[in-house]
Amino acid sequence: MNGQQDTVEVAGHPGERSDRDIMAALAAGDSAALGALYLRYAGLVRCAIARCAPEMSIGEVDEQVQEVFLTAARRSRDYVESDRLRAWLYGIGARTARSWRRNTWLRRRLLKGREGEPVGMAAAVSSSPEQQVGRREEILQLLARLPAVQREVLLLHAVDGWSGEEIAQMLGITHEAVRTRLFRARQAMMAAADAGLPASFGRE
Amino acid sequence: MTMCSSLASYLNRELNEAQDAAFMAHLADCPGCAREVARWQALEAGLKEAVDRVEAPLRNVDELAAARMAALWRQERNAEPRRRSGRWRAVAVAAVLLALLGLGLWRFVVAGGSSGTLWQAPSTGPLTLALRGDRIGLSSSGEVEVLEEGPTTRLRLHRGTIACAVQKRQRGDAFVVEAAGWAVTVVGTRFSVRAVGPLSIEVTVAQGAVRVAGEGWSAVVRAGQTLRGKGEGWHIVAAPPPLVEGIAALLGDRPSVSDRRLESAPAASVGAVPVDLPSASAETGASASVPGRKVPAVLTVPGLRDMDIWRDWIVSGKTAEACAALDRHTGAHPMDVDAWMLLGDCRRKLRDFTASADAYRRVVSAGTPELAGRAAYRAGTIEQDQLKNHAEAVRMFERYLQSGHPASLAAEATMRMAIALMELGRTDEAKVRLMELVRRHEGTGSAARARRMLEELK
Repeated sequence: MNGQQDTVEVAGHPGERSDRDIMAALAAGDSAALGALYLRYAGLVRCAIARCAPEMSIGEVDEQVQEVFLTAARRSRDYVESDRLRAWLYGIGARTARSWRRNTWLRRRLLKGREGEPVGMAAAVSSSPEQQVGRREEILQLLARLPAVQREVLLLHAVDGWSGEEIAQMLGITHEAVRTRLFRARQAMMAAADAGLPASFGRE
Repeated sequence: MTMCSSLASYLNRELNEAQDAAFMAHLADCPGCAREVARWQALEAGLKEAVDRVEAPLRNVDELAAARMAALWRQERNAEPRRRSGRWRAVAVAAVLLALLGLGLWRFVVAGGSSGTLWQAPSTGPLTLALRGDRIGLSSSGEVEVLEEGPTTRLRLHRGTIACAVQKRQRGDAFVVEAAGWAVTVVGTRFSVRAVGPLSIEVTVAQGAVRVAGEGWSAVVRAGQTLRGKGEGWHIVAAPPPLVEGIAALLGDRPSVSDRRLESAPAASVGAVPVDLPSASAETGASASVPGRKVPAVLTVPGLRDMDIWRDWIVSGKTAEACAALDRHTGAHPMDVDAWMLLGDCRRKLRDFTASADAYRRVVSAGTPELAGRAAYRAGTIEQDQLKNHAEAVRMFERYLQSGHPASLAAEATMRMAIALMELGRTDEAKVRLMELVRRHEGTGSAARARRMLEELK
C-alpha cells in the first residue's frame, strides 16, 4: 500500500514486461500490473467467455471478464510460474462462463428474448436465413450445430492453434478426451458440409 | 499399423518431424487420405477466417478499460484496511458524541500503522489524528486518506480542510498532502490545505514554509501567507487572521475557536498579487514573483498532473468532460503528444473513430518512437475495423512495424497488414507479409494462421 495513488495510472504497455514479471508484481500488490495483464489478455478471455456462453450480451461478457481478472488478481500468489498464463486465464474464463450458464439457465428460459445484443459467433449466426449468405456464414452455421464441448475444443485447436496437451490442461480434461472431441468435431463438420452445402463450399 | 491410421494424428498436428514427413510422403500415394486432408484443411482455413473476423471486435482492448480494471482492484484491496479501521472509527465516533454532549473534549486518535486508511470526521466536530509525531486536524465531515505513513508521509484530502503540524524531517523525507490535483510538500511546519473546487486549492501557512507543486510549476508559501487559485490564476496574499486561527482550532490548540473558520473564510482579495507563472516550456528554474519578494519556483513536477485528473475522469465515466478538457489542452499545447494519445483513447471510447484516428496520427508524426509506434497500431486497427479504410490501415501498420515498438504487437500487426493488403487486392504483397510472419514468429498461433493463409492463397 505504500505510495499507492488512487488516481488512475494507465498501465505501461504489456509488451514491456514478461508474464512472469507481471504476475510477480501483481502478487506483490502492484495494482497497475492488473491493468497490464488486462491489456495483454482481455481479448483472449472475452473470446473464451463468448464461446462458452454465446447467449451472453456484450455487457454481460464485460462483467464476466472483469470477474475473471479480479479472480486472477486474488489468486496471483497461487500462480505457479510453470503454468502458461494464457492457458490459466482461458481456463478461468471458460469456467466462469459455464458457471454463469448454470446460474442463469432458468432466467434465460423464462425470458422470451435476449436482454442485450448477442456477441461474437452468436451474433453472426443469429441473423435471419435470408441474410445468411456466403461461405463464412455457412461455416459458422456448421459450427453452431456442434455440441458445445466439441465446438470449444475445435476452436481452441483450429482457430487459436493450441496443441492437444495445452487444451487438455486448460479445460481440465485428458489428452485422450481432447483427441476424441476433435475427431468427432471434424467428422461432424465434414459430414454436415457434404450434406447441406452448395458445391462452392470448401473451395476458392 | 498402416500410415492411414495416422491421419487423425496428422490433422491434430501431433506428429514429430520425421513422422510428419513420412505421412506427407504417404499422401502422394493414398488418394483417400489426400482427399480427407484437403477437405479438412480447406474447411479449417475457412473456419479460422470466419471466426477471426467475427471475434475481431472482442479482441480490441483499450487502455482505459485496463486502467479501470486496475482501479477496481485497488478499490477492492483498499476496502479491507478500511473495514479494519471501521471499528476504530465506530469507537471514536461514539467517544466524540459523548464528548460533545457536554465535556467539550476533542476526539483524538492515534493512527498508527494506518497506510491505506480513509479517515472521516463526523459532522458534529473535527477529528484530530496523530501520525508518528505529526498532528492532523480534519474539519467536520472531512475525509482524508493516508496513502503512506513513515519518514515520508503522504495524505490525500478528499473533502473538507486539514490542518497539519508537521515535525521536522531528514533530508530526503517529506510530508505531502495531495488535493484537487496539487501536491503540498512540507518538511516541518504548521499549515492548512483546503480543496475549494476542481483543480483549485487554498494553502495557508502559520509556521515554516510549504511548497505547492502542480503541472510545470511550483511556489513556496511562507508563514503568514495564503496561496489560492486555480488553473492559470494564482494569488499569494497575506493570510487573513481567521485562516491562521482556524489552523490552531483544527489542531485542537484553541478549541474555543470554531474549525469552521477555515471552511468559510475567503482569501482576502485586497492587496492580492497574482503569481507570475513561468512558461511550461522553460527548462531552467524560473521565479514566481511577488513585489518586493522573490518566491523561488522550480520546474519539477513531483505531484499530480492534469493528465492524471483526466484519466481519473475517464475511469469514473466522465469521458465527455475529459474529452472537452483534452480538446482545449491540445489546442493550447499542440505538441503535447501524451495528451493527443489520451484524446485518441477518449474519442475512441465515445465512438468518434475518425477523430480518434486523427488524434493518434498526431502522435505518430510527433511522438517518441515508442509512443508513435503504439499510436500507429491503434490508428491502424481503427482504420481497418471501424473505418474500413484499408489503404490507411496498411500505412499505419507499416509505420508501426518501422518503429519496432512495442515488439509484442508485431505478429498481430503483420497479420492485420496482410489482411488489409488482401482487401485491397494486393495479394503478392500480402503473401510477402505472411511469409515474413511465418519466418519471424515461428511457433506462435499467428505463424500457424499465416501458414494456412499462404496455403489458401496458392
